[in-house]
Amino acid sequence: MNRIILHQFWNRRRRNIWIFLELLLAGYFLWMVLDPICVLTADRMIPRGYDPEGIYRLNLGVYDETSGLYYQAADDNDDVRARQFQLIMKELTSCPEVASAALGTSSCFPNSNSWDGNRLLAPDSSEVKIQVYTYYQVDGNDPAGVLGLKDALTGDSLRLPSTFFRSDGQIAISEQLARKLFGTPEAVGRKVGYNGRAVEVAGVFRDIKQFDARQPVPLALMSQPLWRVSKTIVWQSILFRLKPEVDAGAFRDRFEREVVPRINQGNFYYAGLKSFADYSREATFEAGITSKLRLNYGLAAFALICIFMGLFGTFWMHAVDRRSELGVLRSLGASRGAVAGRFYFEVWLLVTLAFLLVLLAVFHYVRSEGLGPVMQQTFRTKAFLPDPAYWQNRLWARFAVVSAVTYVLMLVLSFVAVWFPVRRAVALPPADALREE
Amino acid sequence: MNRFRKYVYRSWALLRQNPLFSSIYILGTALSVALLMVLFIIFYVKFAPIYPEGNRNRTLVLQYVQADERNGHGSSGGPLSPRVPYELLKGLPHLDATAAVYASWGAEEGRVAQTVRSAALPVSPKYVDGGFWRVFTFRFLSGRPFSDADATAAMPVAVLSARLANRLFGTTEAVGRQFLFNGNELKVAGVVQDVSWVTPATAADVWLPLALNPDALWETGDERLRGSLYVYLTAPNPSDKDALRKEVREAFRRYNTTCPFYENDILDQPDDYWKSCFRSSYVHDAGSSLTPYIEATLRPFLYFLLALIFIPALNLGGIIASRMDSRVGELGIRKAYGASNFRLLRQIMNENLLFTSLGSLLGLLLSYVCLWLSSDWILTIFDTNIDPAMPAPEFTAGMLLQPAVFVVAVCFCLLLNFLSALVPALLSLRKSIVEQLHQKR
Repeated sequence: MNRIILHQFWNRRRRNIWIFLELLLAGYFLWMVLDPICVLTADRMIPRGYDPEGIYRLNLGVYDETSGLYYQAADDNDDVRARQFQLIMKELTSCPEVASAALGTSSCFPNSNSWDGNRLLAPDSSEVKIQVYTYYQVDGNDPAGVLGLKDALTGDSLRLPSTFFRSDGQIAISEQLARKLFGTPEAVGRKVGYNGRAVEVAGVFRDIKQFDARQPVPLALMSQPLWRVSKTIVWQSILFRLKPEVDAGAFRDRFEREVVPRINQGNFYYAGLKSFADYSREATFEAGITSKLRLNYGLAAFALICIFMGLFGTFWMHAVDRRSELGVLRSLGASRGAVAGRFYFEVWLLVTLAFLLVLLAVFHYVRSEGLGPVMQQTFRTKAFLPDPAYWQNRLWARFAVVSAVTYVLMLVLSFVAVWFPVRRAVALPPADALREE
Repeated sequence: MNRFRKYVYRSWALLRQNPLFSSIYILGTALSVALLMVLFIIFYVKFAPIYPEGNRNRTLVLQYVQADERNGHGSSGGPLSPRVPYELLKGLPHLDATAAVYASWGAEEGRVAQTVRSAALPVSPKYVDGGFWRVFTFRFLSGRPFSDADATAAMPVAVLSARLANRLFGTTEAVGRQFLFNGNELKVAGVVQDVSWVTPATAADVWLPLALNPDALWETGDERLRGSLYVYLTAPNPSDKDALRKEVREAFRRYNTTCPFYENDILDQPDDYWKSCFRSSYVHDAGSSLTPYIEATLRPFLYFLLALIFIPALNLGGIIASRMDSRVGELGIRKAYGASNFRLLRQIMNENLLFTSLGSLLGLLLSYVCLWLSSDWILTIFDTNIDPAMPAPEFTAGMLLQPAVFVVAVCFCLLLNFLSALVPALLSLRKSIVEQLHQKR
């Protein structure tokens, strides 16, 4: 049976050449367009490692010398600034709706557009590049609570010891970093070198991603004295998490009505609350990932629609041309399903043959050029080697996954495209079809 | 004319004879044209002269200068100081006008209010010099721009967009009225037609004299050439741009001969306006952002373009090939009565042109709908780093209904028609009259 179909397929090669060429070109194009989509989607599917729901950053502005509302006495004074921040933390933690609050530098939270990087010295004297979240040593500071960090071993909420915010001799590290340093996540109490001194690991938490569409990198949490607080307000971050049952809109109204007047002191002014969801959306947009995905979705849709229309038109024509053949088949006892099966087999053959050639071309390309990162590397990401634990970082695993996705998409769409012409062809009564003979 | 009418009539008959086939053909063409036109319009509004950057075709841009130590130990770079436009480049023979604009980190934000007690509105300010109003082609609804003297003397004046004037005062006739900007009292010098963020070099809600922002006049480095300004230069005519470019480079070369420790490198600038868009000012990676990433941006665009042309051309070619098979007999009869292959080829191409034209028209309309629906993000689709604080750009009818857009649509339509119809038509006409008539039987 299949030999007959193959024979017919070969005889119709001139008719199929157009759609075959289109499948070749569209298939190659589709592979190239789907590659970034697969990689970025895989990166996005890696768990964030923190819960962004209900987390906000309190944005403050500061009047500078050029402002008509500038107060000289209140500015450029460490004590005044430190007191101001302590007051704000107190105001926040005393709000009944707030579960926890944290005060740190501008780079101390996921999706921040600021970045702090450093190196740690492992016990075997090897250097490990890290990202750092730095928080101030101030009463009520609870970054683990705000971010919802989980203990790497137990999966429970991470509890940092009270000593963590009293000196800068302790550090909390991510699971990935613990494995790089010690080969195991059981690292609490062990020492690492940092800026020429030894610091003790006070906690190991599950990996968290700085950017939603990127992979996690080795991360460390540290603390520093409040007197190091910078004059520039944009270099500070005041974060807080609302309790689960709190209505965010109602809280914002009450906060702006009752708490903000107490925050608007000296040269500080309240410049709004921004949710982590907004930070996440903006960071993804800013890095060009949203644009990349939109563009590639659009181009993939274009290639698939072209394949759909090409196959629909070709098989519509086949169905019309082959009415008499179908009439003979049906009158000899072939069921509708069997006749439809011949068409679907032809489609499968056409798509598979084209895809095998596409695969050959892509294989050649991958072998000679490799598969680079799908997004432009920045100084933040260049420092870290891709973790081979993720399939998207392994060349041939990525090749296999993207090829499988491309093939399945092409095949499914092809079957959908020919469904209607085939249905119409097999629905024709044998007597009507034989009239064409 | 008579023949043309005949072609149209025949095409119309073909269309009605096989509506499904014709619809697929027209939709295929429309899809391809729509995508191509979206891409073209994106690049057109980014680079072509549109309000208020009507002089883009004779504008050169200087964004960075890099000071390299002559002993090769290091270099540092950044935007330019006021010395560059006002001393170094002053009086160049082919220089028509110079504009200096404060290069802020991302979209700057300010707060305006009518009085101390009234609610403050967040706005996007831009600090500019007096030349800004000569380089760019703003339409003043009332008042006039502030002068060079106002800008230098830090006079408390400002130019507002129509939108902001309406929000603050309820009218665009606001010249002479006072308002507070970041707590400082300013007087309205003029009100201009709104500027969309499609043109980020000029877009703002309020334009202020450069000297009102001390950071804008900042200068650093031993030669005091680095600062925080972008400099826009216009030549008298587009054809004078190259002469002006040479003069600017010569000015820096001459200046460098007087610098004992540093070589001030302008990295092949000044750029044409379009090229300047590929030098990112949003510095994620300070080292690489100074060199334009033209090739990296345009290479995928070229691939898309080829795919947009050839995939639909093959698709449409297949459809036409199928149709030609059913018309072989008709062609045989025409040939038997003396029609030449060339004449038949022309007939097929012309008949097909109607379908392609209908598809192209539909595609052009579709592209406008796409742009309208995605206007808040579509312009950033090829950008690698985007400032999220930037307000969404708005397309205006003036940007979309440009002659160049229609010319490109027509050219693409003809190209697609040529690519998709030529090969199937030639293959059909290759058969002898006997073969064709036999097939008819």
